[in-house]
Amino acid sequence: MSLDYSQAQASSSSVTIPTSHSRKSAGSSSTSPSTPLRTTISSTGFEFPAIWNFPPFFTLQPNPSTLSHQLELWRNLVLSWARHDRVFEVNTEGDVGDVFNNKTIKRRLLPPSLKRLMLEMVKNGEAAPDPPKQDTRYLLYWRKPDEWGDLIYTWVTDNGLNASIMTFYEITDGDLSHTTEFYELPTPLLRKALESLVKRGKAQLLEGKGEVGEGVRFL
Amino acid sequence: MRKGAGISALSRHTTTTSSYSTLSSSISTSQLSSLQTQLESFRNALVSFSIAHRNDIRKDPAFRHQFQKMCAAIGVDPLAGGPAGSGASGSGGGVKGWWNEMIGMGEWEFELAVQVVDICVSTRGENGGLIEMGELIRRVERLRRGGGGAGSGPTGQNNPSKNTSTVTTTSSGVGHNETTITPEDILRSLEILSPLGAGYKLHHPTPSSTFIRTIPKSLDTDQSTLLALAATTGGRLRPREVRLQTGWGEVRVQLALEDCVMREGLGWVDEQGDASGEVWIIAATDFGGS
Repeated sequence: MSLDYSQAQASSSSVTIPTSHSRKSAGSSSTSPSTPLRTTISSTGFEFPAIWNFPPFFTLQPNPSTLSHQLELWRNLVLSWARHDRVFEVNTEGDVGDVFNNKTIKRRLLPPSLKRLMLEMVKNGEAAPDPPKQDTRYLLYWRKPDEWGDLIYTWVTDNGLNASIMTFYEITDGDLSHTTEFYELPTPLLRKALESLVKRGKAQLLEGKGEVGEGVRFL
Repeated sequence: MRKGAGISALSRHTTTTSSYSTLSSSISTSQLSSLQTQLESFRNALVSFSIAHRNDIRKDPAFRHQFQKMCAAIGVDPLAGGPAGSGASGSGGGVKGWWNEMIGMGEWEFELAVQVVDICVSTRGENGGLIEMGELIRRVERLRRGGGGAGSGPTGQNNPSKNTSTVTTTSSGVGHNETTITPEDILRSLEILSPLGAGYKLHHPTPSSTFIRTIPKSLDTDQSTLLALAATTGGRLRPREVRLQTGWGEVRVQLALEDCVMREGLGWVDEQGDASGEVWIIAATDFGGS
């Protein structure tokens, strides 16, 4: 929303500021209803909520209780956006996704704020640094690794592929997986998903040999 | 004909008087019974009215308003008595309880009051305990639709597990056959809450706007002034503009804005605006009807 200074001034220059007690005396005030903040539909069809057009939303708030609420809104927003646009990774210092940069109101979540948000998401099990122990690149868990594992395992059983050996590539990019939800799942996330299956005794990871990449045997 | 002064005249007089009094008592008895019949039929009419229109009363705000006016006119309070504890009440309370059960009005109001409290409490983190009437109504309606929780507010999508597009919920304009809530309904529910000491207070920074202070702490005069200003600018407060409008000194403006953010939590800082130190009062920001 653009409410330029001169406009705002003009609309309220003659107003004596009414206090809460003197509402009657304020009859002359010409309240200019400012443009309501609306939801925005992105090019991919994702609907950004109205608060995404609220400029201070892109500044982490100094008031602790406001901040915690704000971070919660951000976490939910990032998860639903990533789910919708199938975004798996965030690089806090690289080319950040649409959600972090609102071109219309010219506000963006700057790297330090973005890092803070990612930490918060990590704390809530909604993201993980990848590789571990650094704070620029993160995997987004709009679906948790073990949920991905379950999806893959169900798919494997449905297609009678259990007890067979598959490469990582075959799972995420093979002919059979085009229609699956884990199509083009990034390898680090795939590995975490498979590891969760290993832990539950449903799969066995096989090291890659030479030309052949890493593989997995479903049990 | 000459009226005799004898004993027979006296006895005739007595007979007349007694027959008059018999007549009179029989008349009042019949009046009373007809009154009772009338009352009974009035009551029956009300019962069938309320049964027939129960849904209208609950769902149509205009109808509800008219109904409340009618009740006020005939001296009946649809809210009297509790929502449940009517059975044991005596002669006076019996009618009230009956009324209450019939219409479900009390139940409706109490439900609304609970939802109002829910929203007021759950949005404090975001708005510092100040919410605009329209926003409150939208959130109640959203809560009733079962869409995002009370805390979702302008985010519109609180529930990450719903991966179906949120477009449908907003654009299909749900709410035609849903309950519509009016500001009067909210005001009534705030009245219900007042004996509980919730301390909800109304603010009217401009004649056309109503804000509800949802924490018992009242706004000091500077905060009220900022709110009034924000109500005319869509929430945005620029230090320079505030200074011009209020005539306050620079330091006072700065302190008031800082209090607004840090102490009250009403304001959100925007560090990327064109002037530094911009603060937005979120309650005064219009998030549209989405």
